[in-house]
Amino acid sequence: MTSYSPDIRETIAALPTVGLGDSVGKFDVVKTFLARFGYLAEPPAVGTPTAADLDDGTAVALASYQTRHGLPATGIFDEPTRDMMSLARCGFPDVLGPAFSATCTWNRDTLTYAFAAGTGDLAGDVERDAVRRAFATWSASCQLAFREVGTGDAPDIRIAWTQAQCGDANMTGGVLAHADYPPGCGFYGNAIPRPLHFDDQENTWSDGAVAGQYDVETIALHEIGHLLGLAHSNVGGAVMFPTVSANATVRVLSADDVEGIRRLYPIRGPVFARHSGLCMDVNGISTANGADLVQWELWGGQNQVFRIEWVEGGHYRLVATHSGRVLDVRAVSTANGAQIQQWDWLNGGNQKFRLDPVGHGYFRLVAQHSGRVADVAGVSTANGARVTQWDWWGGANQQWRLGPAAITPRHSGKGLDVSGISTANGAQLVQWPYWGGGNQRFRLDPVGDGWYRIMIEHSGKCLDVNGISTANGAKVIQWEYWGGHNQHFKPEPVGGGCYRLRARHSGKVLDVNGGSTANGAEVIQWDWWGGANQQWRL
Amino acid sequence: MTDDQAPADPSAVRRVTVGDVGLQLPAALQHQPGSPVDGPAAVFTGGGLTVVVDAGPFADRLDSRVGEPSFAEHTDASRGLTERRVTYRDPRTHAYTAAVHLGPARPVTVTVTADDGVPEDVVTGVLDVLALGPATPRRTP
Repeated sequence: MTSYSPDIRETIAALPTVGLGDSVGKFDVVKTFLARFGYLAEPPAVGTPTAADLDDGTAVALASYQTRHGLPATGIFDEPTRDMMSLARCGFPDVLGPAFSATCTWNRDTLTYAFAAGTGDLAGDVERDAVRRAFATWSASCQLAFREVGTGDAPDIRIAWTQAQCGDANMTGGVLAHADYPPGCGFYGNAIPRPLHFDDQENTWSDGAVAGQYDVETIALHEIGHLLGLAHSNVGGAVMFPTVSANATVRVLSADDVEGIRRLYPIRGPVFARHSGLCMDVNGISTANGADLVQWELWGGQNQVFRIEWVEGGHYRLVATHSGRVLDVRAVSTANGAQIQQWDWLNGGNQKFRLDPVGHGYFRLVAQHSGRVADVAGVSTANGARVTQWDWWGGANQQWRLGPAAITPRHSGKGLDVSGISTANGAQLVQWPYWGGGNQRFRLDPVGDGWYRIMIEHSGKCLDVNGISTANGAKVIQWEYWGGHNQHFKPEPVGGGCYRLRARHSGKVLDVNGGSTANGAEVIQWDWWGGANQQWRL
Repeated sequence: MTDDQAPADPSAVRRVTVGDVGLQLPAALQHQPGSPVDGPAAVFTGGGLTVVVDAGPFADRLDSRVGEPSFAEHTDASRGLTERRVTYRDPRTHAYTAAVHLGPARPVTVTVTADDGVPEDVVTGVLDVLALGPATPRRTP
């Protein structure tokens, strides 16, 4: 920490209150302070005499400083402002760079939250369940996991129903709630836990659409968006739209919301072809420009892990993590059959892809320059088959897994499924006919060294071997992600586009108990013996 | 939100207040029901236009369309204030939008989005009558 001069602090501490238009000797040190920490857009040049008056520009800068530090934004140099400026502080500016370019994100992929006070408007745990669902909704659209802890367990986010004047914001007069941006970009401060406060004094809270009341899940979804770094959107119907109606719900993220969160938190992982179960692979682990994109069994290499980064409205680039190069249609060709390769990022239309959902977690990748889609040549299911561009005709070889999708045991063809669509910790994983529910859709988030956490769409929780057991027969359940090795799995190819899913802590694999083909058969861990009930299509 | 009486002349403007920000809007725009979620905000519609006024801490900084072919911007900075005006056409809906963001001390964003068929100059014309500014700092007694 670099502190600024104690002499300046002492000078500031000795100043009287200064109002708009007032001129006071040595007030120039306040302007120097404001310029030093980024509040005055045009700081005085070194050696230039600074007028000792509080002009309009300084008033605006003071209001900005006061707001950032939780003081009344009076725009004058008053006693609370003087006291705050007189404190020792870090020498780093508060306001960095251009006013509009700030990107606020958390630098980790698992956040904790805790509930303090609830509301008397709803019985039992209803309001908490609504907030939990809101966290799960965000978790399904980006690679973030959320875990509930106690208020004494140093949560990242603290949730409470409060008075309109909650201590860090004034919600009086029609504002329903407030939160804040991630640490470092806060409007009300930067301390952890970050606040999520509902105004319980002036509003009535509901679970669902009720006349004259506000749906907890709708507002929680919006505020969590801010906590993750999203600003408001002007797109009507978006969760992040700045206004909401009573007697209404907005519980589903719009395309605009999803694009916003994926822009802040790019998805990273393997990209599987639907028809083959194989994934995109930069041929030969080459890092060179021009290396072909092929499909190959997932084997854990970084040449199979892609970071999907937002570029511009609706378009993304896919960055190969081993090389830093991007997917590129060779020679900017618009023809069917043109090879997709990796190349340095040049911002070309042949390097930008639109991600169009085609259902059940699969997308088509549409090249901006040609309108054609990424396609496994000849509908091949073989390792090494080339990935080219082709007209969209709806083939499964043109559909790529980028979001949560089904995991299917080979012996039964049913879907991995959270029993009873439960969102509770401890719910059993079973097999069940696939019907497209969020309890049957899973996302593979890389956690390093080829291991993955397998996140469940409907609950935001992950696959977990019960009790960290290493024994054969231990049940596979869902649980909040906490980083245990009993929550890490490695897909290992076993042929035919199928994988065994090996648990990190035990070395055992996911197994449908007894090789049963019945609905509801439990999923357990067992030693690998090559059974079809231990092989999974991703 | 407060709203002066709408004048009889449809080409006239009227003064509205959103939070502690005052601005002028064409009289044809009508305030829509809805509560601001977490800061002063209001929505007005009329004549094929939707105007969103957001004077809260989470106002859109108008970054999301940067880089798109239709995106254009102009920024002025003076006296500690930055005013940024942007225009763009949504590549999916083709809706034309003009917006202004004033910051950083008291962020406020006004976004004007047009239905199909509304001329672009009508959209940008709304921004021209805004007379938008931050709250006037208090003078000492």
